[in-house]
Amino acid sequence: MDDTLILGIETSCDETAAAVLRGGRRLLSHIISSQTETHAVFGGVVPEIASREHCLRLGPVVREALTQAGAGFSDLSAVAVTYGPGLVGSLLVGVSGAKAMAFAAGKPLVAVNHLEAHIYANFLEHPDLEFPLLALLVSGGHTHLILLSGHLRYRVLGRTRDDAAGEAFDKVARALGLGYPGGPRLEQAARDGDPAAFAFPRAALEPGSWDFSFSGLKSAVLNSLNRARLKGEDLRVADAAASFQEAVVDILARKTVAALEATGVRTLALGGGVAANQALRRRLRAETAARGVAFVYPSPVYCTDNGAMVAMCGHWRYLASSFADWRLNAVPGLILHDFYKENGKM
Amino acid sequence: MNILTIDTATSATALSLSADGQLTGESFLRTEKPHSEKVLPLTEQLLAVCGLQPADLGLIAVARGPGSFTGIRIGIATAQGMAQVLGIPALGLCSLDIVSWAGWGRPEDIVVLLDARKNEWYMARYRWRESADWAGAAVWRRETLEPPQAVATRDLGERLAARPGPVLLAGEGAERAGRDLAGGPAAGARALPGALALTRGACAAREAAYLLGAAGLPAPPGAPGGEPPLWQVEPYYIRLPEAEVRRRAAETKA
Repeated sequence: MDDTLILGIETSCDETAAAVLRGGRRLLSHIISSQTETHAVFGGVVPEIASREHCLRLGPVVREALTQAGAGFSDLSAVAVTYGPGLVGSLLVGVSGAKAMAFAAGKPLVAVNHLEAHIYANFLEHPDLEFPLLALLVSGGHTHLILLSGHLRYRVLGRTRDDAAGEAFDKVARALGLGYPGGPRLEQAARDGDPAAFAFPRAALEPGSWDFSFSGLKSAVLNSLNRARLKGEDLRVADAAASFQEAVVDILARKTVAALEATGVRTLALGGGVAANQALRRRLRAETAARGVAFVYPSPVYCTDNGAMVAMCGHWRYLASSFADWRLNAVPGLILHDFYKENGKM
Repeated sequence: MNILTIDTATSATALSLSADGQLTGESFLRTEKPHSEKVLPLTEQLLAVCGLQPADLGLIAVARGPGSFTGIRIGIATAQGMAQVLGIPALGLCSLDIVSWAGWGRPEDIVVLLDARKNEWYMARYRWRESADWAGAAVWRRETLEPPQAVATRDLGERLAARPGPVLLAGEGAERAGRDLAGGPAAGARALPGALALTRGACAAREAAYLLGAAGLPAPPGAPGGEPPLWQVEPYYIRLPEAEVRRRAAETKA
């Protein structure tokens, strides 16, 4: 039986999180110290403040995770940490702390790509998920369509060419005066709105491309808002929110379905902060059910940034002996490396 | 007891090891590579050549600021992370106090200057004084004449001249400030040259020993109600985050 014990640490944005995972299956603890309220008065995450908060919170969060897991540092197989992408100052706190902990405990260090971790969040509740699988990763900073042929083996099929889906949510939410954090607030507002009230555009990129684009959609919403203001009309915020959300969901779903059909993959996994969006889940559930494709997604708590997904990804990297050395640095612009471009053909 | 010191608050990555108050090893790098790529490899190397394991450490002292915000956090996260695993205390040191040791025993006032950007210096002013302890033995005490603060670079001359007596500049900003002061009210201030002005592991080791000698060792970890934990070090930024400064200014206006 696999009795690896992985401590996962996550500080890439505004959540200080740590978790302990046994054998890639049993999550023994899972602590998230969220700074959302700290940043709310600023209307968005302030990097310097986030870094300061991580510095104060990291030690206590790790201690709590170990205590709840009934484990000590000496029981660990490895320490896994997010080293990018994210805010550089935030990442550096987690990376520095994780390196020091691994070094002092005499344990290996595993460097985890935050995007990869969001995909691996799916294995927390579906440890027997089979390959190949298609992953749709949607968050505040990223929108990726990824094909996985096995653990840690990716091919990035498409990505956003401008705004990430979550970024568009945040910007539109701000313009509509819905406040921060934008994603959940906009989803809430959309519940009372008519998704067909506005015909917002769905960017059609060149045929055969699985890339996304959201900036045109975002501009269309902002233009409608400005036009209404100039005319002195009252724009129904709920309708605009619902129509915008419908357009985002439509863009994501169409590309995903096209990729499923083109690849013949029978499993779809969702990841990232926007994966918590109910309208997106509903639409993809319907699309996959109609095609007999299995559809999994993490519980909302594992969609937002957390240590459990880092531990899960770290578990598989640990098994693959993918270790980092003490020079590991934060890489704020880290991308998801295409395994097949680096290692030859599939 | 073996003490490790870590200072990444300025452009230097400076470490030291000492055993029972005696300096046994020192590491110093001032290269372009970021602290985060250097501090742990240097720590590993220093411990190894000194024949020590991390578990042989009894305390880790770390420069907690002022200085580079990111550098402060890298040092603290590293020191805290190690201390937390080893179950030993971490001790925060003021980065200006550390550099005051570069002017130990000098008759002048020691003014330590670190780059605070935005046309400011982090500054503190000290005087080393010899006195006798209760048994009549000579002891040196450091008097802090001006506590750590941020000072506009253009005001430095006047600030220094406001107190009588000669001044010796130390710290990463010493040479540049010395040049800036020429022709002004504090033109007589002399700067320590080159690396002699910089923070060193040896200085941090002396500072740690000085604090421990004055205050005694921190209580052992795990004491009931031991909050905050003994490995927790609070950063000493001096400055608020820029966004917070703007928010407070807007609030005052409203």
